[in-house]
Amino acid sequence: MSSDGHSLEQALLRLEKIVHSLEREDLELDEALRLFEEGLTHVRNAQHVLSAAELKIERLIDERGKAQLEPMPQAGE
Amino acid sequence: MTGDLFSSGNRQGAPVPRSQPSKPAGGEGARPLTITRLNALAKQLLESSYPPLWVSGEVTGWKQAATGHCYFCLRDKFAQIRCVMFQADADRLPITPDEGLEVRALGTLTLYEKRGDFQFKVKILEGSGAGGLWRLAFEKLRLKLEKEGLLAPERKRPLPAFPTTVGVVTSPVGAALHDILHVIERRAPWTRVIFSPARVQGEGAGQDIARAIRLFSRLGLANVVIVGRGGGASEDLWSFNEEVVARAIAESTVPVVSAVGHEIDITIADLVADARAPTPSAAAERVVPDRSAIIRELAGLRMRMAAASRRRVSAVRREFDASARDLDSLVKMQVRNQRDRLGQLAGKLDALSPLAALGRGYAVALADNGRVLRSADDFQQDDTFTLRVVDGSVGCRVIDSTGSSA
Repeated sequence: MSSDGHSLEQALLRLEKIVHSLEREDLELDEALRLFEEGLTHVRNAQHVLSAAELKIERLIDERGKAQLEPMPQAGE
Repeated sequence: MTGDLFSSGNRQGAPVPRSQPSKPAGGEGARPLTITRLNALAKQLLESSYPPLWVSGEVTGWKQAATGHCYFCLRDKFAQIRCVMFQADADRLPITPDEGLEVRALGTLTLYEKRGDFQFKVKILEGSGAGGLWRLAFEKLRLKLEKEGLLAPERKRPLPAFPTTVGVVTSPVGAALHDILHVIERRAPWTRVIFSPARVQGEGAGQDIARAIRLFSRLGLANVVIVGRGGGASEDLWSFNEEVVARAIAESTVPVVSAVGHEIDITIADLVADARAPTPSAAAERVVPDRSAIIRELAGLRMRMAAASRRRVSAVRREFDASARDLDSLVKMQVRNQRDRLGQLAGKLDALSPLAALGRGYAVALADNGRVLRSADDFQQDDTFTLRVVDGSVGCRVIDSTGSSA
């Protein structure tokens, strides 16, 4: 499971939909419980992304017409 | 100083006696000057007589040679002077002066020796109007881009709310990069940052910036790009007013946020970009979401989800209980109904029972062997039988019968 901005966005969107369903719709008990479980999964996914600690920085240079990506140490500068 | 050469008046060209080689050429009794020497002297005189001077006038006849040197005239109502501006100085001009442009120029009086042309060598050229040539250049380009529709608000793309990767174009030295990284790490440390270094002032900076923007556009590595620099003087920010940068931003396949630190001026980059921020830090704040806000939102959603689930379960239980109660009363009602029905049937049955008939006064005649005597023919004279009445039996003897056997 990727831990990036996109995953976070998806997790939050799906969670909102689930909350909306649980609050508004007349669901059968087993459906409600299933949605609740799914919601917990999205919460966990979101928390996983949010718990990232360090920024990943890379340098992009165009060397002799060829683009190169190289890691950069954390900018303490 | 060769003042003595001319102080003796117009004795130029007089023959020089060979016996006086130490005397300066061209003067009284001196050998004639070469034109080369003459022009050299004139140039020397001009250049040493006056320091660099500020002059004002109108530009006319601007031409740029292949060498990059520019030739033009400055004039006023009554006089004009030929001018030259060498390539190194002319390159710093943001714009080619239009014919008739009012300018101020700093330069030195000199002579172009080869042709003996008196001219004014211009070092600095400024527009006389407000903001000078820089303002003029800015307005000219702004108008051009506006006509092409590149500044239209409809063109501005929305920034992605949760970018996976942010591109940064700025100087590798200076605070801008550091500020941006600091803000992104604080707000959204899961973000991937790709930095493409570029000079942000001086010659070639515009090209650097444009190249870096195009690189991001071509490779599609980032969801959004910040291009900018920290604060500086107007001329330092000039690279962000260059057409090449404007084009690169306008053609970018990825939204671009312009972040040129300045207090008053806006740059062309700011106008063309999809969004603009007053500083690199502010740009970083616009471009990534805020972790603490998201954490709060997530907590809220969890609570709502749990509450909604609990409510749903309670509702189901209530429904269940209600159903159970309904069932209960349904059963009770059924039982009641059955009982009533039973009562009804029993009543009917009762009405049909022989005991009821007896109660109404009927009697049943029974022979000694218990057989029910129903017909008159069953009775013979002097037969004994029993008469069953509601509350007992009576012994009887047949006296007479209307039956056929009597």
